[in-house]
Amino acid sequence: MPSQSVDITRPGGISVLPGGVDAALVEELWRESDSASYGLSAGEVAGILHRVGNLQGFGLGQELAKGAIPSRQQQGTFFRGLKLVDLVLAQACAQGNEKAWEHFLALYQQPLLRAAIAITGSVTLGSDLADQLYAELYGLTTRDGERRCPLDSYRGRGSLIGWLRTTLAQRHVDHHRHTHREEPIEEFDAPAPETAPGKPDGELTVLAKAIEGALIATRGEERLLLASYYLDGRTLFQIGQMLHVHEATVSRKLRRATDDIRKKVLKSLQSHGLSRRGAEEALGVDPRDLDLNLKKLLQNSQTDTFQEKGAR
Amino acid sequence: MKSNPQLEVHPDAESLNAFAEQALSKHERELMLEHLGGCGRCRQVVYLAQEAALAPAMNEAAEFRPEMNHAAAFGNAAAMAPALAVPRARGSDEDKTHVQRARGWFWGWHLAWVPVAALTAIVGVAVFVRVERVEPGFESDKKPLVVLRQSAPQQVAKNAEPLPPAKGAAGNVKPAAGPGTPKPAALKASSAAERAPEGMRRADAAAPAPPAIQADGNRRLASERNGSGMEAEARKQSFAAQTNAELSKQSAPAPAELTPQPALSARRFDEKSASETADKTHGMAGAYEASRGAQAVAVARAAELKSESSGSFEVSVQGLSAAKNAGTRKAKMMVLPSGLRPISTVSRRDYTLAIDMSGELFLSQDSGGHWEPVARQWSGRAVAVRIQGGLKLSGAAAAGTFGAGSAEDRAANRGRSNDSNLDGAAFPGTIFEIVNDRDEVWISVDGKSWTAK
Repeated sequence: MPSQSVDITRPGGISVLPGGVDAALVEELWRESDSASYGLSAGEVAGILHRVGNLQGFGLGQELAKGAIPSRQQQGTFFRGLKLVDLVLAQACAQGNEKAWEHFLALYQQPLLRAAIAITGSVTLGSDLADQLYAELYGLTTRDGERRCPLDSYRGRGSLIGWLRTTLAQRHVDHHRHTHREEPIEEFDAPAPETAPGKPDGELTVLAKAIEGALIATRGEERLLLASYYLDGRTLFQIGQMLHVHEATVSRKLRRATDDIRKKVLKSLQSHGLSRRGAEEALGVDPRDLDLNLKKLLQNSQTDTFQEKGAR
Repeated sequence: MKSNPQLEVHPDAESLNAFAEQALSKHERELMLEHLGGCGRCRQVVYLAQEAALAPAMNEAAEFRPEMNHAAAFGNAAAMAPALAVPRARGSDEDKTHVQRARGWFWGWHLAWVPVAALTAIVGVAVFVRVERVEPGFESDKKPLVVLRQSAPQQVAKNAEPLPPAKGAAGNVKPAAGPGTPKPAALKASSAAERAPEGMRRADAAAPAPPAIQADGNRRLASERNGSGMEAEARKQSFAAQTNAELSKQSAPAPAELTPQPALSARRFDEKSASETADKTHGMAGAYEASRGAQAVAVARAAELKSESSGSFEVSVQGLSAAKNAGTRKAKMMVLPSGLRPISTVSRRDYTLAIDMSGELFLSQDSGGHWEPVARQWSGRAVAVRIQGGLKLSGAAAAGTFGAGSAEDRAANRGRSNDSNLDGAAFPGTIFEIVNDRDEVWISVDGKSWTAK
């Protein structure tokens, strides 16, 4: 891998470097990042900070677009809010710094391998997964003639090892989803032909619509809890780990969510002319009689905020 | 065709990781929750990454090495890397084993109670089974004194009489002291003495020589170890051995007639085995010696009681067969009409005499099916019942099979046994004996009428 180092320091001492990063701040951040241990100069760090700051607008959002120059304090707050050590290392690796790559391997080779093994549940598959990611991280992939390194998409908001784990998990899930669709036809158990659906009962139709409306109206966190618990079959402990809350809290939230849905359904049924007792009796119908796809309902997310642009 | 509900736009690894590490702003977190609520793929990614974050901690703990700790102590991450690198062959079985081992270690802390509970249950069952097995035959655990005095002869009788004529001990024996009152040492060792037959049974093939017949020096050591009570018992043992030897000279058939089984001959005592036993015993720990001493006491008592009879070999052979006699075992397992378990029984064919714990004697003529009490005709408390045989031993009988031998012998025995009734000798040539708690003996030929010996 070719070594690239960009020294943007200028003789004579300039207080404000191109891109608006304060030189004194760069010096501080260079020491804090410990990048000197793998031979990165302050100038190289300044280049990295400049790039990252511009890409993320120094955390100022729209203000930067209006031409505002971030102050030294704002810059310091922004950079210290990031995992600076990991960020500088990742960016140096993405730029092809050989020593940074060696340092990266020394730090993350084994954790990454173990994470891959844990994700796949197999040493062989885990090793393959980790090797594949290494190849990409090293920059063997090219697109449009340009060397592509997934580490370039790391922005330092979370830890680098967490980012690597998430990337591994993404690769594994995507691979599984692709290969899952390629099951041989011998193993495909064809479902019995559906019988002609009879005309749905009016009460069942009302009930199905009430449930659909109640589920669509649920908030994001409630929907996540319901989907994780009832669709994915996760345990309260796992859900609690993901949300950083105690499993008892997850249990309470789940019960509250189901109670809310029940209330909404009852209210909806009553609004359709059923009595309170009739509405409660309607909830006792066999769920198989309902023409409802709960998975589809729960996965019908409205958000399109996120775009998968990194690690691809 | 239904549309695919799965979202095609997903947050990148940076956002998912930031969500997992709670590095997102509130607004971004709400958006992420909204997306995760509807996206199974991203939920799976987050959960997998979360599991992977937990796994390294498990692996590091499971694969902990000193050099890793050393490197970590000096903050040398590069030095840690080779320590963490555990080369493994690529194979699905090993892969799974490795992963399962790591998971097992981790989850073991959560499931620690499961093996503990299983172990407790196993121990409980083992103890229960052991108690159930031991209890019927060792009721005298509750009364150690009585046990030592009563069951030891029985146990010797039951256990194939491993006491051949004592050659080595005969020359060194001293007159045995009287039975006297039981000594604390004997009391202490009573439970071990009761277990002695079991140990002796196990030791049939390759066992050390029976401790009852030890060389003089060894016996003295045992006496010293076990106190004055043990010394008296040891003297008694010597005397019993001498008496046994003399009696065997008088009443035992010639070697040509007597063809003992290998088990019996293997137990034959001689000077060599005695000295070996002495050497072994000499170097053993105190607890073990106490146990052995207790066995010695039990067997010595057996030898003593046995030697009082005229036909010790008869007793031996009968004891061997009695050990195999289901009637005796059945009787010992039974509860007598008094409501107590028998502490001493003796059987001849279907004819069984049993003494309960209160000293009452009961007679059964159908192998313990029905019992009738026998009127007390003796003084004191009966503690043991036994058979003083006067039968001429055939070779087969000496070999331990009562009534076996030539066809004529068997026919004769059968005839005698058919004559067994209570108007005279139940078994011609068979004399039953009762021993009371003062070692006084009463004899009977039918088990009903008893006269002092």
